[in-house]
Amino acid sequence: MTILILGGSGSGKSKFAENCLIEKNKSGVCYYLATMMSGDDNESANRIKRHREMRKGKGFVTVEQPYDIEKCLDRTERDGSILLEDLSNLLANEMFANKKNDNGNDCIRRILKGIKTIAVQSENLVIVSNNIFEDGIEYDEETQRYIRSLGVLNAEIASFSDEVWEVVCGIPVPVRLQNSQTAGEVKLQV
Amino acid sequence: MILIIGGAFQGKKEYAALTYKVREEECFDAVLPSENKDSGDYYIIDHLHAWIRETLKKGENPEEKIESFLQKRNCILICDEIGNGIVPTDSFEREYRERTGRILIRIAEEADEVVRVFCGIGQKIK
Repeated sequence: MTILILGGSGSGKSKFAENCLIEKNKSGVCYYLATMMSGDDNESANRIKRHREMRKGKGFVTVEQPYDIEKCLDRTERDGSILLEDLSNLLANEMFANKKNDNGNDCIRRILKGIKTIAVQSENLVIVSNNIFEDGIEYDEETQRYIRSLGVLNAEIASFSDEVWEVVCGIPVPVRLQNSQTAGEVKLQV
Repeated sequence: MILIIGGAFQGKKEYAALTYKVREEECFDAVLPSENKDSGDYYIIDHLHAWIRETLKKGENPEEKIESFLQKRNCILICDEIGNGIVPTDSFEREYRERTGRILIRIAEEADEVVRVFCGIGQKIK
């Protein structure tokens, strides 16, 4: 089963995603697929620490893979459940750190291919992503490309996910649940 | 206690006024009503995010203040959704966003009702 979980900053999406994966997992290992690159600043170190604390005791095995995401499969069991945290980091890493000299669309295709591969080769895949689309600010070209790319990725992943949730103030709000189609679901052009 | 959230200019306050029949004089803008100003049993506190921002700017602790407030008051809290954008480069802005989000989670836990207003339409999510 593939589940997409969206939310803004400090919305409580990670906590919901962790519990969601544990609930769906039957007998395999729960993997935490961490995409954040530990920078040398305090803030990202603190963020990583906070997330580790939150996962403590939930039985997650952490696998770090900041880009080329499907490579995590070398280190995971096939009947395992994987929590990908998170898509916005992964996209930033692919666009700005994984220097393959390609354009935004190649990044999107690479990420989608990776995610589809993981989805097929694991029991459950829960993907955490961000809602970054509602601050009304027009950014520079590069940032706009990033925002657009995440929008495309969210919509593409949503289209093959069994469940899509948005977490608001810690409350999970269903966007689309299994076997139900929402009105006007669109495919964005890659 | 009722929490109303949503983007800027989505009709949150109008929704509150219409749905919960709160009068303008019961409305506080970006401040918590003080102990002695306490008269009615129901208030709207509008622009809670602006109060959080000001409180952080003053170097004070909004989590503590709101916690003691929540224990005592029956009210409607209205707050803008501010976390749905690009992570700001400025560290204060980042902290403001993150802490506002966490405070809203805490308020939502205590709330009897949580309503999200979008295009003037209220969706009850709790």
